[in-house]
Amino acid sequence: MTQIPYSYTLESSHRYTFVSTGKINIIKAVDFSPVGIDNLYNLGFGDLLPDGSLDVDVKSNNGDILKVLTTVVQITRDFTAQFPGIELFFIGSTAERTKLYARILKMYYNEFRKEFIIRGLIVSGESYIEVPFDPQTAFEYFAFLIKKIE
Amino acid sequence: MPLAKKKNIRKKRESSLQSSKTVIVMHTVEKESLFPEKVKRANEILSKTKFMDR
Repeated sequence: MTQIPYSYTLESSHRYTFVSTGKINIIKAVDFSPVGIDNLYNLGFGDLLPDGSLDVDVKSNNGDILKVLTTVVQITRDFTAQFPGIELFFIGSTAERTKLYARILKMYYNEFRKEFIIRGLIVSGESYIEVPFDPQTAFEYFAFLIKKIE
Repeated sequence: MPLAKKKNIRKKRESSLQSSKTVIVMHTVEKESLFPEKVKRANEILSKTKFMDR
């Protein structure tokens, strides 16, 4: 990715924060939480609001989305380097945001594929099927799974 | 029963088990997660997901 990531802080073994300095300063939190399947973690990402609460659905429009996502990718690299056996699940808080993530994965696929195995979930009726992520296909991915190549 | 036959039966059983393997998702939410709703949603989605072989 072409942007330089923001500096970030490791708050605990599974939580990072950084400050988005676009139009205004916003504290962002990235959290890795187990989902109940061995070695599978959810990648959660959102804004820490001034009152200490979190907003995962916020559209901050802070003018630095690529830099913010570059930072999340860098944090993901950091986390998966520490825990190489784990796999991460992530999904946008809205369909629009999931599409944005798919676009980023497609755009930087040649870079990401050197480091990660990337899979996507596609909808099949009322369930989901895991498939290899393919930047050339017209699949509408519902969510993603990534694992560091060991 | 001859040993070779026993092995064959075991192989067939293992193969059958693998092909019908399901992933059991425990519906637990990490209490300390900053994003418990997201974890819960991930849990729900993953519990309905047919995974590729790892």
